[in-house]
Amino acid sequence: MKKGNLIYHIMTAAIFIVLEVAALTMLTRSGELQKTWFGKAGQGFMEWIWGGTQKISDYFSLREQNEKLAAENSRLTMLLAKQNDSLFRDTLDKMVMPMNAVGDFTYIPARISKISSNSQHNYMILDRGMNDGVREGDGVVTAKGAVGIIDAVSENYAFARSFKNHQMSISARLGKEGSVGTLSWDGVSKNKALLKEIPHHIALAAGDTVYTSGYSSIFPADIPLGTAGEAKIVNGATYEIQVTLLEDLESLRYAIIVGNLGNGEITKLENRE
Amino acid sequence: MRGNQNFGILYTLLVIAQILLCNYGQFSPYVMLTILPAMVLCIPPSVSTIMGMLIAFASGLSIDWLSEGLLGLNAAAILPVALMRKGIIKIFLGEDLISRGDRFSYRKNGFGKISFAQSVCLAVFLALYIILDGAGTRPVEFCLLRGGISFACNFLLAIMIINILSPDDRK
Repeated sequence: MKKGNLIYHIMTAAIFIVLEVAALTMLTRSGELQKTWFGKAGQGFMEWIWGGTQKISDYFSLREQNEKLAAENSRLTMLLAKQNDSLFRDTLDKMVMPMNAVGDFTYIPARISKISSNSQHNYMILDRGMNDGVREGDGVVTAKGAVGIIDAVSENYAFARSFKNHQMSISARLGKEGSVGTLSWDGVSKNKALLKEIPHHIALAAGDTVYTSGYSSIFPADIPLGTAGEAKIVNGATYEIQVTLLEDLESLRYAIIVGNLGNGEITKLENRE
Repeated sequence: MRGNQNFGILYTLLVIAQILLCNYGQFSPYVMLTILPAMVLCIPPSVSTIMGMLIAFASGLSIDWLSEGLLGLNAAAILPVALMRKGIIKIFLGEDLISRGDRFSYRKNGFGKISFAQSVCLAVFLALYIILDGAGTRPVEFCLLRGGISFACNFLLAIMIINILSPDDRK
């Protein structure tokens, strides 16, 4: 496009705009309807413009808003954690522990810092250690089950073998006064275990609760562990009963470390034998 | 030059006719009679767009002022037609007409092409006129009906006006 042509086109457009504006101005002055209509249209246009600029401004202030939200989120998370912590302490206080168990047990509340649940040798790390009186061989329990045994202890942390570990078994009783067998994880399910070595002459009822027997020096007696399900006879001599665990080991956050004060003496006696 | 003088006189007379139409030719709210778009289309192509717009504006304003209508209504509606005049001629009647500065006529350029050109001018004018006149207070159905009926009536009037303002040279 030639320069002269461009100027001519610009002039044409400018004159058109001037004349059109003049005509519309005259129109709005001579007609009330037109005046109101143009007024409304003008307001709508201004709203659109201001709304648009406000949206742009909001967009660019998103970072600041995000930072504020993150700070608020952090504050609320801290508040929630504090509240949960006090709730946890309250729950521990209210927890009915079997104090009349065999031996003299200590109970240390602990938070689970780390837990694995997807391997055959699962473990957990608790935030209590030697400084808190935790020792190797102590048990880890909750109100709904025995969940592990302490394997190693540092000053502030304890490493425990999880119940979901092939190397762990618990002495368990079928019902409060039933036969005693060994309970171990079935190795597959997330909440199933097998209660073995139950004599086959014992009458079984599905739904019976399985408790800790109290015959080991690790766990106190009568901690509910699960409910009995299907049973099958193994080698023609004993029952193998499927047990549904009461505790969900995958969502565990808090536990109690139980220590038998007479454990050292018992071990000494066992060794002498 | 003489042709242009004749055109000027005829154009002025047609503006007066339009004023009379506006004052005495309102038979129904659904019919709006106008010959202004056809008059603007017939402004000789040798006349520049700017001059065409000024002529259209002046005639529109005169009609508004001397008739019972709203001041600025015809002027506002006819200005876009004047702006698009050369473009419409180029599209429908060919660019040669503009470069030669020739006038068009039904005989030279054909009824169909000129009808398309005048239809576009008429549609633009009527659309703007009806919207501005209604000012958002009339229902869409009324506006469409008014536009349709007015278009049909004015199309016939436009044929007459084009015959008057752009007569065939051989006549």
